[in-house]
Amino acid sequence: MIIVDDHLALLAIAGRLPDLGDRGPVVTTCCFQFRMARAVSDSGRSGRLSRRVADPMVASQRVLHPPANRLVVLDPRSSMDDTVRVALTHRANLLLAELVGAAVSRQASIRLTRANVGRSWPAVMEAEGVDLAIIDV
Amino acid sequence: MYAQAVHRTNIYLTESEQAGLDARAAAEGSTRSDVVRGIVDRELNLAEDTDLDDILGELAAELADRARALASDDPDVRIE
Repeated sequence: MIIVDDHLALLAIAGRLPDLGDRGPVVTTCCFQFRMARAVSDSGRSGRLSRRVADPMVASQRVLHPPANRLVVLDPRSSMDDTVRVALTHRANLLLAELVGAAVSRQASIRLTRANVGRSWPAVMEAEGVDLAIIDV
Repeated sequence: MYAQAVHRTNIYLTESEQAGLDARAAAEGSTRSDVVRGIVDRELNLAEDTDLDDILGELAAELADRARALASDDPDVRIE
C-alpha cells in the first residue's frame, strides 16, 4: 500500500500517476483529501478550473468520491491510536500525525511531492520506520 | 459484447441477496451479472470521464499550490 499526498492523489484520480517505485494500492489520507477537495472547490468557484469545466461540481465530486481503482481514501478511525501516538510523540499536527499513523498501522510506504515535505517530516518518518520517497513531478 | 474485458468471479450470496438481484434483473430486462456490475461501478465510482481526467491531470500542480496556500493559515493541515 502506498500513501500519497494531495498532488499525487490528483494525478492518481486523473490516471496520470508517475512511477512511485513501489507496488500496491494507491491511497491517501482524509487530511490530504480535504486539502485537495478544498483546492478543487475553490478553483471551481474562481480559478482556471471554472474556465475549463462546464460544471465545477463534477470535478469536486470526482475528488470527493474518487474511482476506487485509482485512489482510495483511508478511514482515519482505523489508525487513530497510531495517529494520536505520533501526534504526542513528535508534536505533529493532524496532517502529519494521520499520515504517519496510517503508514505505521498499515505498514504502508509514503510518497510525497517535494513541496509537500515538511522540515521535520523525514526525521519523524525515519523514527517511525516508515519508507518515505520524494517523487518529482 | 462488453465494452471492456470481463473476468469470471465466484462470490457467495445469501438467498435474499440473490433474490434481490434476480428481481432487479427481471425488472430491467438485464442479467444478474449486469446488475452486479452496475452496483460495483456505482459503489466504487468507476464511471469514466476522460475529459475531466485530462483537465485534473493538467491542473494538478496548480491545484496542489492552491491547496498549500489555503492550508497556510490552517494549523491542522498545513505542511510544517
